[in-house]
Amino acid sequence: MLRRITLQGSKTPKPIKKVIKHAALLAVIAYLGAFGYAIFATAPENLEATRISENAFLPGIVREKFNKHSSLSAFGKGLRQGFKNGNPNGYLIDALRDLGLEAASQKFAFKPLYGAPVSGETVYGILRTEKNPSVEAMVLVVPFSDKHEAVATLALTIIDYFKDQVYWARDIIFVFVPPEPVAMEAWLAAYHGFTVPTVTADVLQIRSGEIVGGYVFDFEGQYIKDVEFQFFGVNGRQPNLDLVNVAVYIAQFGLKFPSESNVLGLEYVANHRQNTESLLKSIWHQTFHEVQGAHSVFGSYGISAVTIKGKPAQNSRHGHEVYKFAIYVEALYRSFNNVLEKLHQSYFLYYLISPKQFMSVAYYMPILGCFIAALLFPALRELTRPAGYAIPASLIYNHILALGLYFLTMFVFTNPLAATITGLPAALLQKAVLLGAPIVMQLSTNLYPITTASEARVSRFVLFTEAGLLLGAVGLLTISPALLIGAIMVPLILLFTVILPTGPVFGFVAGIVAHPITLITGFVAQEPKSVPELIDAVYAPLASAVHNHIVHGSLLFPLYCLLILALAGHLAVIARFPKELLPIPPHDSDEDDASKAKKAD
Amino acid sequence: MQLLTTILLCSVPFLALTAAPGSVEDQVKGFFDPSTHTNNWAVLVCTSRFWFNYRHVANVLSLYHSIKRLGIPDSNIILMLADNIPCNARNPRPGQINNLPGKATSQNLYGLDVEVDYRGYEVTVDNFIRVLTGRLPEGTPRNKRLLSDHQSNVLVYLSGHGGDGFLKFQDHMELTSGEVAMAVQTMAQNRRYNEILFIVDSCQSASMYSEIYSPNVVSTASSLVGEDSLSYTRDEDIGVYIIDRYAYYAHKFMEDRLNGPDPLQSNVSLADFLTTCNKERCISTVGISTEFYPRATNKVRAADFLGARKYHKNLGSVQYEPSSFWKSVESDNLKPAEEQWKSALYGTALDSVY
Repeated sequence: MLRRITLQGSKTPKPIKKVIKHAALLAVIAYLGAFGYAIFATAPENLEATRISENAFLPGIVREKFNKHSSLSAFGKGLRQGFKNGNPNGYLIDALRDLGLEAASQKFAFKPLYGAPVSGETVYGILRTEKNPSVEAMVLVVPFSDKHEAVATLALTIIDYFKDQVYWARDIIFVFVPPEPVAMEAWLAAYHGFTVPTVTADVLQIRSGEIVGGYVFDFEGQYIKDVEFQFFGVNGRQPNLDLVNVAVYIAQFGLKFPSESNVLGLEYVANHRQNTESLLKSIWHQTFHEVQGAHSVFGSYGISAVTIKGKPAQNSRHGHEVYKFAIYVEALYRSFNNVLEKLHQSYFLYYLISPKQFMSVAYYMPILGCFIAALLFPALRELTRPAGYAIPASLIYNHILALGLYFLTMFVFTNPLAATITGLPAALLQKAVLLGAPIVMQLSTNLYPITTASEARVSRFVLFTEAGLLLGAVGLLTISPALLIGAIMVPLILLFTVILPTGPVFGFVAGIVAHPITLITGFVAQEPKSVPELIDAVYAPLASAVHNHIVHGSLLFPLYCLLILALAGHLAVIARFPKELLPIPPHDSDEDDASKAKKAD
Repeated sequence: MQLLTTILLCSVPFLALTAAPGSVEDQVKGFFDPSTHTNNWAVLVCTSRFWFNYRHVANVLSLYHSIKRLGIPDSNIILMLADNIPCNARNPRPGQINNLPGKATSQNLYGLDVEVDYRGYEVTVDNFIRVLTGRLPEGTPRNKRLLSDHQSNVLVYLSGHGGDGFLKFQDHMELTSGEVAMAVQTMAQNRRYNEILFIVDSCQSASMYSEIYSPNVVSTASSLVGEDSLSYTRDEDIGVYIIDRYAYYAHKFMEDRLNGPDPLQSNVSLADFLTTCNKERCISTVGISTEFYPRATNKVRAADFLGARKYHKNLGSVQYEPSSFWKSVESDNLKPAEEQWKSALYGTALDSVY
């Protein structure tokens, strides 16, 4: 083998030459292969069945003994009175203290420079365990507002039952939180000793130990038709799959409660097309609706939480009564009580296609692998071009501008000085920065074009590898944005660098088409809108990404700003440089020429 | 006529035999081999901790109570429980552990008469092997020592999670079948037993005794290699599985068959005990090894391993001479002291003393 390497000298090996020759074709095949694999992997026979990996759970064995039906009406009346008096939180605290819990409340205020301010008060009570030291806790969260009277009544009744039991191994914290995710984030941050930027919140007066996990219950009305399990989190931090599986198992076997996840129900009969749809929906929602509910913010603190959302039914014929839900909650917490430590046995990286089928990380990573492979073939082609090596200025400027744009956006969105310095109203300034600045950045790429072939070669190589690394790095953190970015970015990159010819005209087109703002505009313009409505429609998702970044620590906006915009700038610059000026990488006909030359001699 | 006479004449000795008093009892007495041991010991080990392994502790305690009823005293039982299940916070009946569901049908297995010798983290592979081989540090109290001799029948019962060739101790240690074999061989060479009944109750437990090569050892296990041992029932109030099939049927055997005025003399053989949990009851196949056991198990009393006879000696005839110190104690002025004690003990459990 070593002899072969020495004999071949510095020439490119033959298989590599073949790959280089067909780099564009291989890239397209790899890209399409990603979709083919995704379709293959969602076939019902290729999906894994869910199972409960933590032996300690023992779900559904216990016979539930909930017997506080009478408390339901008493608490219901009290809460309604509290709302009428205008002091529901006061009633809650008194009720919790009467039940024997340690109760306190936390006031918070979120006054952003953008969007509507949110302020409120989170009431929480701690049921202490008597037989163990208070070093661990489970949470039970309910959203509390005048629309959520029924679920708050249920929570109080549950507390009434739980307080009489002797078998709790850890504290239970009951949190009555306003429905906005900011409230939950403020409470969790205060619990762990953090402060959320732009949110002022009280320090918590009473506290328990480390939170092992918990459930969030949400429904409106008196009757529940079925339940839906929600578990998407910020930055793709999902709860441990065991938590979801236990909830599904108890719903199915313990109580015969109909339930669904990702729009597919428990009685769902495996169907390939619906599986694929479920996967695509998961990818979309996990990227763009990552703050789905109160459970979504728990992931950043390393806590597993699932929202069990009840769908309302009109009357008792079409749905179940609330006390049946109470029995379900009892079964869940009896099972969760058995757990010994933070959940770690089952998966954190998964797609739950239907309540009983899932796709683990090993099975969805090849999709991303195919996207990355589609970029590596052209990268190899660039590597073997016999052009020189010169770092183009555009490479550095694009990234610096992107970084500057990120800091500018943060300054404008969080610092009131921005409005006073420029003298413009804050809303207009924010729109200008978020929509206008990227366009200006894209136009400014004309200022530092690529002039030599070696610069072009380096730039193209860096584009391919940077895009590939971006996909890989993001995919390891949170898979859904990576898959979505890959599906959109890879064909655009291939189109404007490898497939279509390049030059000033195509470069201009690429600069416009392959820009995120254009793509967003194209997406929202599917319904006819007037121009101001269109601007607002494009501004809204970007502003919400900024909000999630500031308040919830989401990395989607920095990803977009620092990397996607820079890559769009790279692409525009590269597409303006004519491809014909690039030297051809070594290919088989080299040897033919050499041997022909020899023969001629 | 002559034939008839011959038959009548020949039948006389047979009739004489059946009519002779005591011959049936002699036959029955001679059916079981005479036992060769003079004392009984037991080592009962539960190797798993955590609340969801409730049933392993219940297995061991069920057997513990049965062998105590049959006469083996606490001084001769080494009870090792890896976790304190009755006092676990998740126990809705604090201080209690049951082996049958429902309060009415079962009794608390953790009353005041349970003496646990090795508890919690003291239950280690190291300690188990030291107990068997007798190589304990100086100063180890008597209750933690297996003080068996060459005339002891030793019952060893292990319950927990296991696999092919190992038994899991605590959560991170393993006892291997090779270690078991070496420990038993050490016992054989040091003449620390007369016969051993070695029972392992875990998944794939037959592998644990597969390497034993010492003489006079009969081994049994609740499942063969490749099989799982299954639990018997769950308690829906507590929310756990509370006993395993093998332990349940072994305990039931001892309660039902080794009963009566003199259970140690009942006609129950070791083979009956070893085969009590058949495929229908245990679902897994019970493994039995008599490879190194010279006697036929159907001629050995089950009570040879599971019970012991207590010998009482009446001390009535012995005279005790009190020492001179006690003679010097004034016995006239004891009345005020008695009154004091009476008032102190009034209302307590000991108030009947005075």
